[in-house]
Amino acid sequence: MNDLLTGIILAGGKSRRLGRDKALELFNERPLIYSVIDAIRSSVDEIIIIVNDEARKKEFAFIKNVKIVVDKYCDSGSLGGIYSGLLESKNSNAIVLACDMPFVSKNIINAMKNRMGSNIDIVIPETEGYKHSTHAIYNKNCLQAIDQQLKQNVYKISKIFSKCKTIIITENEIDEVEPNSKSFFNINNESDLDKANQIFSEMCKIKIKIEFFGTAKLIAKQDFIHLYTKKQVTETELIKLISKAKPDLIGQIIKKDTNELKKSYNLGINGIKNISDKKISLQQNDSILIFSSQSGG
Amino acid sequence: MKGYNNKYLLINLDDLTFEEEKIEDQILYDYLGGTGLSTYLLNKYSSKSDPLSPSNPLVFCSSPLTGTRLTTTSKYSIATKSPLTNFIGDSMSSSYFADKLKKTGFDALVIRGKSNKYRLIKITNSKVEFLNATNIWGKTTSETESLLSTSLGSDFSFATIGPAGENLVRFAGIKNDGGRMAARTGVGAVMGSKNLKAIAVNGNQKIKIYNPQKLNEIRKELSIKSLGDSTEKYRTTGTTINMSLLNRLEMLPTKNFSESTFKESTKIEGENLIKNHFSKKAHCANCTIGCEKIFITNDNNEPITSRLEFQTTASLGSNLGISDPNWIIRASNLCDELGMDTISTGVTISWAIEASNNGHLKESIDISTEQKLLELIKNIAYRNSIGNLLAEGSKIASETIGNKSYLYAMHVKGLEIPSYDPRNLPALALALSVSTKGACHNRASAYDIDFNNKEIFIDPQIIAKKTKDSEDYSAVLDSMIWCKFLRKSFDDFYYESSHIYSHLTGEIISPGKLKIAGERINNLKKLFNINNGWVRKDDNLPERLLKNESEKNQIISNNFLDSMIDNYYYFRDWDKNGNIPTKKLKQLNIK
Ligand code: SF4
Repeated sequence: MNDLLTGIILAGGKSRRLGRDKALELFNERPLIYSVIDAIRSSVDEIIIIVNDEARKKEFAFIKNVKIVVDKYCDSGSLGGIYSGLLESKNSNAIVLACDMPFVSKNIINAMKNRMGSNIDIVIPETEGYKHSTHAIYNKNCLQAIDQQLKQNVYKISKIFSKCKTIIITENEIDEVEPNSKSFFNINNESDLDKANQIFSEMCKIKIKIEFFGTAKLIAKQDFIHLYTKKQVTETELIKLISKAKPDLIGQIIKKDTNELKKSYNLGINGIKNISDKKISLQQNDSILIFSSQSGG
Repeated sequence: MKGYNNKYLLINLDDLTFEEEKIEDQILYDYLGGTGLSTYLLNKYSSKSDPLSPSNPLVFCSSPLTGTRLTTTSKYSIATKSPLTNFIGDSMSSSYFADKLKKTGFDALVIRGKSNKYRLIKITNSKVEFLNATNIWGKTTSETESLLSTSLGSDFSFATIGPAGENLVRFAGIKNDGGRMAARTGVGAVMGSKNLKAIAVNGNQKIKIYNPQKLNEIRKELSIKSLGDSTEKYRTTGTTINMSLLNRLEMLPTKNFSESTFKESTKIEGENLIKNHFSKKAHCANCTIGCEKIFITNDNNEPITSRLEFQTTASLGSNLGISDPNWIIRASNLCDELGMDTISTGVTISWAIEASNNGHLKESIDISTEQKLLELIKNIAYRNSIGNLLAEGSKIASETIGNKSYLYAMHVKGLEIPSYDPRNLPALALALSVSTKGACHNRASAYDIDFNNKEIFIDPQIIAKKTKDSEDYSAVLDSMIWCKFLRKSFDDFYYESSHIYSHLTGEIISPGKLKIAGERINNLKKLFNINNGWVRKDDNLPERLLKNESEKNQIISNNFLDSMIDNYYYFRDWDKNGNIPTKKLKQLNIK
């Protein structure tokens, strides 16, 4: 088969249920569509974003290295978008994704890509009896079937599966690639957004080491502990984590009630470089040192 | 001027005479007291002679704050020409001796000459006596204090040398009030060279205070402040806990500075000492902080206690590869009894071990058992066998045996380096190099610049400016005198100090003038050195501490140090060679 793949991201119009533009909704401090773009960037050599109209095309102009295409069958749901995208694809195969999927998995995309073959038109994952048509690979061979359907105003994507050579990736297969994958999770409403944020913060946890010196060490009765945290934390969040793990430090090392270190202590990242920024960027296996601010002796 | 006695005692041990000399207000105002005034008096009577010759003055000086009972101010300063460095030797100590000295009615003692018999100087309210000290000569410091206390009365405080000072060990100190010592730069050897065993003081004259009521209020406020977060370490654990952090940061001098981490450091770090060896807390007179921690041995031998500071645990511990706290407690106690600086003792022994291992020193240095370590320390104090060479300190000893043994001598200007590895502490590295007394961590407290900023500065200009400022600030601390451990309790050090000075003396001194006094004092110290042969190459660090090709992660290189020194001279308004232009001296009113 031809290894090259196009990425088609369906970013139609504003979400009725969320009441805002899902593609541009901030997630992890960036427009949500970037989560999808980043996930497929290394698996595709072309990205096409499908929008409903010219006005919206302008709104998306800030996204670099993508092609923005206006849907030829707008108001025809995802099927129209898939059609317009495939039509514009320079490759015969394209992975089609909705713009509201924050956790698209590279591993699953690559596994799907590996299943694509010369005699196959569609590779589609199925979980809990649901076929993820906007997380599937389509070949240009599908164009004719889709076009026919659209002309008859039949917008159900599942209808084309029987007309094309379709391979289903089963739940078991997906589990083998990535257990408990959140790749198919999409955001329809406010509560989905909250859930996504929660999943995200769980997913980005890194392991860091907290090392104690002086009175902190005597109170903690340990040289160090390990903690899991987000990569981006504020000093207050970090102290809160530490006091949860070592409540005995509260009072003598950590101020009561405020999640702040007392003036008698310093926090250093991987040494004595003091943390005095409110926001701290951490890496896996970083060490946070808690030591006296009085260096005399 | 109020707050002072406005006079000092000029003692001549050659003929056992003394004179009272007035101190002009302007001098007090310019040099404050403590290290400032003692430097002034040293300079005034200095003869450029050999440090161990009779004409080298030995100056004891109290301060305006001494005797006011403000927290941490029971301190005195000693200045002389150092037998270790041949430059200015200054050292400080604290407690009752300081207060009782000031209350005799003299702000300072300038001691010159050499007695033909072993002597004790006894000073009470304006009364001076020279007593025979033959019976206490040879006694350890605690024996001496206890004998004198019995014969003169327990109201007296004593400053005394031990056998090390008597035997002119070049790093002998002067001990007072049981636990305190003016340890560095060999001030004890100078005292010994004068055949002066001890000074006994018992003054009880009132110190005149310009605004007693206000000072009382300040005393109370300051005592409360001194118990805040900024002294937590000193109050709770003391300084021995520095070891665990420095070891983690790879800044713990180990085996004569050949390594920067000590594998067995956890055994001798403060946290472990506190858990397994803590005996009690102690503090200097009139101190609310009480940083002193007394530790006790816990092995099967007769229990011994000793006051330990981080510097001692490192110099006699990691620096010697020693990991048994019991050895360190006994060695520290022994150094105190013999009257010897633990930093120079440790770093001179570690020099000898390395010089011997590398074939430069014929004798082998064996400290493989506690007994052998203690034996060696005694041999240094009594100048027995190899101890006679080590008693000279690492600089002179390495020059004596020659070859390349100087490569292992870890000193600056002859003063052994304290236990902060300067390789990655740029401000400290600069301060150690340019310090007028040699490798002293306290005269600039520059490690605080490295440790307590958001990042370690690596711009030579910034480091030089901050180090210069920190030196001047420390000179004011050491002249007023406040304890270093109180420094962070001030919200605005210069403002509060000037305020207190004015209420005490009745003379208005602005924060700016106080700052200039610090600068003046450091310039006068430098002038003393220049008059005693200082040249630019004396401001340096041992080669070992300077980066070579293989040490990629090290900040301090020869060029970097040079560049910091250039910048430092610039901020001091000195010329490129580090000399003080006449204009600068004039500007600072140094005559
Ligand atoms: S803090 Fe320590 S050294 Fe300073 S005055 Fe108090 S007891 Fe003495």
